[in-house]
Amino acid sequence: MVKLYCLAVLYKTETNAVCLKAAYDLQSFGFFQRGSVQEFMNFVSKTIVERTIPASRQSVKQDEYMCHVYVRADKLAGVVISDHEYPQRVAHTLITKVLDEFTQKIPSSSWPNLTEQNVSFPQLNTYLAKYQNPAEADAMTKIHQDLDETKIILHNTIEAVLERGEKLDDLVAKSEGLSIQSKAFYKTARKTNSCCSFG
Amino acid sequence: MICKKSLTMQEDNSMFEKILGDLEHIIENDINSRLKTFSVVPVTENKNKSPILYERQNGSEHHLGLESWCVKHIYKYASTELFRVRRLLKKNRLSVFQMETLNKYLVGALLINPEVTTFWNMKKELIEQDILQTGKELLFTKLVLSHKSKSNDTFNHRRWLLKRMLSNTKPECYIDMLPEEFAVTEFAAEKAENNYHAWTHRIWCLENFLFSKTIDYQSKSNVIFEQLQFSLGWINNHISQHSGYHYRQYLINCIKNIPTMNNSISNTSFMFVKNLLGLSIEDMSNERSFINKLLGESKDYASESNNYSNYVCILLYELFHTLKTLFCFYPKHETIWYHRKFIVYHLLQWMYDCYGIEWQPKINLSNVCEYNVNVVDNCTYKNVKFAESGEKFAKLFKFETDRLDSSLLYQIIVQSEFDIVKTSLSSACLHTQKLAERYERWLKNIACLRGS
Repeated sequence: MVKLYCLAVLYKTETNAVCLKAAYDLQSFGFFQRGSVQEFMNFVSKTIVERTIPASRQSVKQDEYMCHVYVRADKLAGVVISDHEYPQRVAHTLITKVLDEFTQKIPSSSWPNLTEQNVSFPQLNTYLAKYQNPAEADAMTKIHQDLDETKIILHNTIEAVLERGEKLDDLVAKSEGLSIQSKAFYKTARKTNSCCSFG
Repeated sequence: MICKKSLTMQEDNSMFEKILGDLEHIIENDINSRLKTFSVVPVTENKNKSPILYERQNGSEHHLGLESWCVKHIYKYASTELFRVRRLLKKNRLSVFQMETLNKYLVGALLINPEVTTFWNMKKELIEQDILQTGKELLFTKLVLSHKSKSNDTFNHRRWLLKRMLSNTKPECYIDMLPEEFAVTEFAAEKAENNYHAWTHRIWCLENFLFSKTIDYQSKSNVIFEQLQFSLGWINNHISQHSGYHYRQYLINCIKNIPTMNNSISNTSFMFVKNLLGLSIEDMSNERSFINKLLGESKDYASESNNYSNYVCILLYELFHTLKTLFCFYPKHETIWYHRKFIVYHLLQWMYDCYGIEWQPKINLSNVCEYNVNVVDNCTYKNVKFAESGEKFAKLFKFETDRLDSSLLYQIIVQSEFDIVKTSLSSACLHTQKLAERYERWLKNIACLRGS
């Protein structure tokens, strides 16, 4: 599938990352799992942004998902979670575009004190919907000019992004952003290695 | 101790009865309206409440869930009950009342595991006894498919139900059954990757509902072109699922048997081909002059070439437009190369047919396996046999082959295909290079493309 699940804008501080705005398209997940999946996507976005140095791009593959991340030099970060077939450079172009527009709309001085509730940036949902079809979304020429693909660091699992000694299972267990239900869900998914082994 | 154990067993059984009863009740009442999906929800602990989750928001779709901890108990209980009465039902020794109670076990067992043919057969027997209604059962299979989208037994049962309905439907109305089947198969294909069963079901429906004698050509052509449009959207979003491409290839082949009809897709492809080949309106005005232009003048082509301009235009549009766009975005996907082989193969096949020449690939069977020709139909094998004694014949057909080589259509295919190989070979990605190499070998050895 060529599919975008999540598009998020975050702000990276010294110690952690704060989600400023996120948009999701989770129609393809089972109804009762959407809540947990959303929590996980949020958790993964934060985790990866925290472990990406400013002014760099990464793409992380985990099972059939891809997580694309770009942290700008000014600490503003964008995350796209997509299916692994979604073209990588289109995903990164999307992030660049969204972050540029976000900077225009919301002054950079206010970023450190913002929380998700008091940010109004409805364009995120529009972008998520528009970029579901990469062929229609953007002219190819633009993409070629904008992006040097060789600068994107690729990882084959999420474990590769974590710092030494860190384990995903521990991070999930410690996380405050995940409900008990989602943690149970994560454990089952790990065990059965089903399509929901996100994270 | 024993007493206590049997007591809890009894308690358990009444609990399972209640859960199964509730499930059947919800489905019975809601299946006609909004109930859309069933799923097993991972919950590890029994929290001493009903494991049935039933989501009913006003105005939106309804969803049914079953907590995972109880799944194995429920299934075990229901299937034991069912196997206990299996023989009696078959011999028709159950009372109507007993038969009516059976459905709740069937509902529970099939929702959890629809891969048991025996249970579906029991359903069939109950339907034949008029205990269950065909219409509601169709909806039930749809609900099962929302959970297990690749279940072949479920699709099979659905086909059995549809066939049963056909006997009560006027042949002219067969076509009205298509939209619902399209919706079901699309939903199932969306849910599970490479859902070959769903696409096969879809093709079965077209074969049985659309290609009956009573349906006129205009309606047939409308449906096929509508489906072509749909499948274009599908492959754009499911770039590496060959089953989706296979459906598209089936549709393209259908066009061969439908007389030329005007509609937006055929017009688009028509205009595209006109510009691509630099033809004038007069060249395209009738079948004969169009084919003359493509294949070379003054040749009395076999009569089967009649009415083929639509087919050829669609193939060319697919090769030079659809595939080109897909390739731009996804150069690393093998499926797209396979689709390319299909299109090129069928274009060449058509040309050879028009010239009345047998296809002569310079290969033997061992190479066939090596070059992966599963997209190519049996025809190759027939020709392979021919090729063994091919030397003599080759001379005989030399003249015709030369004419074919110099035709406009052949040259444009040769040029585009070797160009794409060249471009891909120079790509930075090793995988793309490998795919291009394979394609080049296929072009030379299977398709026997001569030139460049």
